[in-house]
Amino acid sequence: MATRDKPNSYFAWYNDDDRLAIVEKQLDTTSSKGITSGEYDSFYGTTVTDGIRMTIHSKYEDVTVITTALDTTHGLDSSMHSSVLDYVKSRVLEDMGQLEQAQFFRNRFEVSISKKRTRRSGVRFLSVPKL
Amino acid sequence: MTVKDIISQVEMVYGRQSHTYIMQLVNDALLEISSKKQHYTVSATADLIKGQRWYDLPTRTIDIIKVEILDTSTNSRYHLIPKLVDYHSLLKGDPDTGTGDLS
Repeated sequence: MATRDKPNSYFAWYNDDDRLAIVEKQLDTTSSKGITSGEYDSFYGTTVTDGIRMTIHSKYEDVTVITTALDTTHGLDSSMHSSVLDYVKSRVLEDMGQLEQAQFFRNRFEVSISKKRTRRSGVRFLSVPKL
Repeated sequence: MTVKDIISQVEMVYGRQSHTYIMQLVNDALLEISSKKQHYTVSATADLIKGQRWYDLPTRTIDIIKVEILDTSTNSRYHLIPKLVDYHSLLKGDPDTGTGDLS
């Protein structure tokens, strides 16, 4: 088995819709398993606790208790709380049959979402007008 | 702001509402925001298991930003690993059985 120095040089990942695959490049040149050096296969070293860390874009956790805070517990930026309120109002009004007012709050929700900066780490682009 | 605050504000204008109903609407709002903005980032860890190729993604995953492997040989740091694009270099193709070819 290869040493664990610089695992980024011989581990790799890929995924399907539900799962993540971790593979390891086979570095043994004299393998008895019929492996060609340089091919990838499943990790065959000793199991490592918390050996994989993945960072993902995630949906928010469902709210199940009405007293939990949306920002500290669910990670929703506090600047988006008014957007949630607009959404709720639009749906309530829609169910009450007041479609015009519902549309007003729906539009306000859409605008507030589109204006929200996506993420702090994001790269900002120049807005070049189409000539 | 809590869901209770939202319920209070809605009830002040539109009268008494079911709390379960408002909570469901809040969850719908969160789902819509996360699908449109994709700015909620979380990390999760899993054990790296001998002979196992496939690992379940967290159920609320939208997409994967990065994957790291724990380097146990030195000072237990996580190292970023690349996404595999050349599938032809997979040994014996993709067995898709949840276990590796070698186990």
